Amino acid sequence: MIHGTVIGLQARMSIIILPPERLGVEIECVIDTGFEGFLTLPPSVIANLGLPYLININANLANNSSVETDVYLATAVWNGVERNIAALAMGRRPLIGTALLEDYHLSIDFCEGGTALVDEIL
Amino acid sequence: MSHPTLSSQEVARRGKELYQRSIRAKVETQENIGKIISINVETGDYEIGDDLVETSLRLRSKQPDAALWGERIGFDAVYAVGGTLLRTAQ
Repeated sequence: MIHGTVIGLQARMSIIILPPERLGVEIECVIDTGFEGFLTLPPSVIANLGLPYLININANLANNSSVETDVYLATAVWNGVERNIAALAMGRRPLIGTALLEDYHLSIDFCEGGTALVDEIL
Repeated sequence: MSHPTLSSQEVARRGKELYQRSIRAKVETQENIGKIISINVETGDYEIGDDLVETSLRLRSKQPDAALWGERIGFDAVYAVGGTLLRTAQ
């Protein structure tokens, strides 16, 4: 089970990224159910973590524009399991997308300080 | 830092051109619609699968410093970030 908190009507939850040859770094993210990928990170955070470049792709934004995006390889600890995920270099606030939530249960109490939970589907 | 020798714009330009010119007609089949394709923009080699990391790492195992471009077959982008993917295939 992973716990998060609602702050300013955003459900925030932390993920641990394991940078190459360094200890894990906890990153606070916003859960974004309109994002179908795994993770976005600001380019400056990706540079600080030293994540390896993976590929370039197009991503479609809320204003219906397509943007060319650099994608990096991140090893994340999610619900106690290490997995390799694609991290899109974009934006100013890290986002957790629905690909990371796939096959999990998400519940959110949408009030200031409310609880966000990601758990197994019963 | 993106690819060591090619800019992100150049990787995208080459990747899109390669996909439209010589790959799309071969791979845009009913069973592949919605899958991910990673393309080595220097060799034209490609891998198709369900996960962007897996397809990209399969290409990297052959050429570790490859410049890669990714598409979602039959759609206009790989991921929606607040938007909606537009299906381009019939």
